[in-house]
Amino acid sequence: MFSNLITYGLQKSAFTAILGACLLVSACTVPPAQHTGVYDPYEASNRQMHAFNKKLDTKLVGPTAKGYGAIIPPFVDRRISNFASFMGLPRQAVNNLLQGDIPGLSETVLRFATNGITLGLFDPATDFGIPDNDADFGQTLAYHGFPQGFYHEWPLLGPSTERDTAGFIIDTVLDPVNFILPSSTTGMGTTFSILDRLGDRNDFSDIIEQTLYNSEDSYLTARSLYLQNRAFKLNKGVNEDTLEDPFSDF
Amino acid sequence: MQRRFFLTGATALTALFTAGPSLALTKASAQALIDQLSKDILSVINTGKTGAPLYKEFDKIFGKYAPVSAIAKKCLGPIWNSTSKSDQKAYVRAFRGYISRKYGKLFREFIGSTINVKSAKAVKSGYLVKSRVKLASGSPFAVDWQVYERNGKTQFYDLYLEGTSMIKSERIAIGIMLDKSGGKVSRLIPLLKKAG
Repeated sequence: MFSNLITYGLQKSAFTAILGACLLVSACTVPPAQHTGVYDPYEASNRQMHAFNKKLDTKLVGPTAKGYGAIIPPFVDRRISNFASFMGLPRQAVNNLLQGDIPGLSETVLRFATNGITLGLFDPATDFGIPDNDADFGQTLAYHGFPQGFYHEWPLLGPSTERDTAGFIIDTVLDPVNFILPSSTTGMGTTFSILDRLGDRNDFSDIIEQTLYNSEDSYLTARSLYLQNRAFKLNKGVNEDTLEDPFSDF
Repeated sequence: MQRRFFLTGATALTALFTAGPSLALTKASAQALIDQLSKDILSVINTGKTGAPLYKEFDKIFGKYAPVSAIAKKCLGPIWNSTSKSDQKAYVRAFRGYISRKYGKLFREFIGSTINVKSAKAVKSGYLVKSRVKLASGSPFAVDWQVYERNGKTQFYDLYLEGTSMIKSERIAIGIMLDKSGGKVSRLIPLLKKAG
């Protein structure tokens, strides 16, 4: 039914991207045993990228987000944010399924149905206690035993790992929304998530600025925060085995 | 080498006695502590205080709920043992000011939000209490609190903001500052006083 909406171009670029992502995943590096649990063999070039991102953030993203925050009233910003996350739900459902997470899948479906009543502009689901589980393909790969690979920092997008990058590509290219909506609206989801990101950048500007500019080594700080947060999402909560022991000195 | 073995053994033995099952700490008491702590935090930030007056309130909260010197020690690492008594004291004081400023600023982002304490789970060292902060903007934010019992007192130990641990993050931050201080705690203290 929808196949006629998929253009040859989209198919072709999707195929190339998936092939690329598959190669990336199959090449995911298995790190040597490490004490810190952080595998960052390209730290030197990552640090250069981090410096670039930081400059970009100071000169462009930060001011743009502030400008965005000044122009777009919070009410509209919240609608954009809700809509962006609504558009991500079909993709999330696919990942729930691929992770064999049936409770997660029912949450996602329920969220879609509930927020769909408002065309995705409002978020009554959260008020009803139906949480957003944020399932993505990076997690799906982890669920199927793909190693995390090395840590790296992308221009503009920031911290990632080999596995998460492959996941991000597959999520973006194979987003079911792209196949359901008419091809003229392809990229709408992406546009909204960029706007949403700008909104987030403004909402949490103080937290992010503190991380980036007020910390002694923002590279290490960003890396640690990213990896901890990903582990938390993967584990669907704080991993008990990684808790600090209050009964030992160090 | 033998001495180290002996010390490790002694520490383990002490840990065995102090870490035994406690009668005072229960799921309900752990949850009640975090209920009270989150209420205290919200009431402080909702006064609208900023800067030094806000940090003073957070300093009080840390002192009341958390073993600040144990946390400070944990974040510094084994170099603590070769630090002079007076530097240890000065470091703990500087650390306390530092986390009060840093987390005072961070929690100020939660102005106008609600904190819902959801559940508590028994873990090896005590309890892990789950809560959800609903930001004024509507987005939910997961905060987990590690609670344990120390000398018969229920205390909060570590804080997880969307899975990122305060102790883990501060251990990295202090480590970096210590590197910049040439590995000298005496030179770390003035740095710490300015940070946060």
